[in-house]
Amino acid sequence: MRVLTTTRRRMKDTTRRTLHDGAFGVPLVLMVPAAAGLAFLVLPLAGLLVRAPWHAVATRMAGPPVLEALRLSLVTSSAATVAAVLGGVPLAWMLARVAFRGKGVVRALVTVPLILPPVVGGVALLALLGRHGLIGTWLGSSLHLTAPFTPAAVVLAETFMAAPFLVISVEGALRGADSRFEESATVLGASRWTVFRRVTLPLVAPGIAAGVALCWARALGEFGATVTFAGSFPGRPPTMPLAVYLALESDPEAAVALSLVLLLVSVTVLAVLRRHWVNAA
Amino acid sequence: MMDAHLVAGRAGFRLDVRLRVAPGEVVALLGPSGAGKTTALRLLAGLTAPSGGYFLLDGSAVHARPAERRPVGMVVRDPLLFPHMSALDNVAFGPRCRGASRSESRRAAAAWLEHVGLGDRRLARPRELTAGQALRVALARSLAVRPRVLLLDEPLAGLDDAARLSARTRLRHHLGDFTGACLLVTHDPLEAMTMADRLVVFEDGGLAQEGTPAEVARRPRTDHVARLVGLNLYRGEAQGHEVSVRARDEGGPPALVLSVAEPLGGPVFVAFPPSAVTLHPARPEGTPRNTWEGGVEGVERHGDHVRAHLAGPITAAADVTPAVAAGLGLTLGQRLWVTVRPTDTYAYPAPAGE
Repeated sequence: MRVLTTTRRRMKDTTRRTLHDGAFGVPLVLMVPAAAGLAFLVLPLAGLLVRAPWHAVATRMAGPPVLEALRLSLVTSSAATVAAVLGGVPLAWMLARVAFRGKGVVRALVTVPLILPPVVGGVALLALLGRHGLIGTWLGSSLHLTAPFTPAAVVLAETFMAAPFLVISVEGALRGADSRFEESATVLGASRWTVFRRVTLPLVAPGIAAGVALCWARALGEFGATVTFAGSFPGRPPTMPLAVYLALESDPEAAVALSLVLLLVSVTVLAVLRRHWVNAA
Repeated sequence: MMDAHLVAGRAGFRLDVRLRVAPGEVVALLGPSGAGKTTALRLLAGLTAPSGGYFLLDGSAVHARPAERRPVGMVVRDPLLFPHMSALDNVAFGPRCRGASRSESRRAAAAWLEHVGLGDRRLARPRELTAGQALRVALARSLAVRPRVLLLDEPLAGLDDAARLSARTRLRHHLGDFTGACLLVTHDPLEAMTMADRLVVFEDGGLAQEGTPAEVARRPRTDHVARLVGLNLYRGEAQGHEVSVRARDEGGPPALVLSVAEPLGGPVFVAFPPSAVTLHPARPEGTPRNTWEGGVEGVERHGDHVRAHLAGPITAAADVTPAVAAGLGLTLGQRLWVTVRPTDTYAYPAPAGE
């Protein structure tokens, strides 16, 4: 009998808890702003989809300007991602695994591009690598290399703005990974490099994948620093975001079509990341 | 012969112990949590930087070498198999790192897996293995580098009771074949007693006691060791068959005089097992020797009997059968009379100054 009573009481508790925490228990003070916030985030994308020139999308996208811009964007953002991986993964490893003086400062410096207005990033790159920049002058005079207004400049600008996403993501993964696996490998006789290559990297591979996706998406969409540092020249193909901006002036339908392509890419990246996060959880 | 003096210091803790282990000998490190057992193993493996001391193997200085160049194998509580490699690749990892060719190390790994009875699980990923199998793979992985010192840090602690029994038997078997020095950290006295040739007890970063399992079990020197081996232990001054036993705090007046079987003199330990303690609801007739009154401080199930913890002039643990416990109606705070027959006590000299 006593068992029955407790069971019933427990059931009643559960019911009450569900009601309290469920949709009906949410105070209006929170629910209304939450709904407004959601609408604000979703409606512009809905607008984009509604205004899309669906009848002409296929022909627009197949047109040479779009394909040129898409090709340049894909090539430069991929190159920027490769550069970010080559420098960013070792940097993340240093931040996560090596104790050194001024680590806090280094970490802060790495994150600066995340909060820096992109146009400032572009100006900073010009100050260093521009025709009259710190290194740019020397590059021009002795090697006859000029960075600005070339595809290389696009890659530099995108790397500068996007690499921090990769570093932060990989560092997080490294900190989350159990370093005792690395100790096990060391005791088994592995050198530091072997440990990194055969144990650390495979362990944080999901984190690196997430970082790559974030970094690539950021590089693909980079506008401010790219336009400032790499500029836009008539006659040269622009990157996708630049093409969107330019098309708005002359051909708004084209701008919407180009935006759709970028949206599609973003959603794909999000889907990839989501699968990663779900798997990790 | 392994000879090590392990010294390490960190905030509020200092480890300073000397360990000597003969080839083929298995030494169990026991002691309360935080006593420095794991730190000792990490020092030997080269994973923690020492603040002094040395580590010699047959006279050659191992302490000068980095962790990856020490002839040491290690197995820890979570076996830490590399999750992205098959069992075979896990075992082949060490030989490969130590210079064997790919095919050589795979052959060796296959042989070691066969040796631990997992020849048919070569391609299994660690997550597909049971805890007991993972431990065997980890053991094979450590042995595959042919270490001269094997460090086991609570290897059986991650297993459930059923798996632990068979794992202990297997581990004993493999340790029997091992020709190097073996150090086994454990919290389980039974594990230590059954697997080790010698016990070393750490307390507060120092060596509290050392000896064969039989010696340590018969003559515990600290409270912790006594509890570990399941004995009541007291220090006192002996005069013939009478021992004046002090309460827990040093220097206090004698709390009780116990009669013991052996005639002794000077500082001694007196030990008796909880099963030798008899409890009475009222003062027993005829006032036998070694009788005192105590209050029940705790009651717990202990195997197939009931263990009562009693406060009083001296604290003691008593094991009684469930029937006796029910007859006494054991409750917290209850006053009971405690008796121990002199012939059930065991007294032995305590080193002066300890």
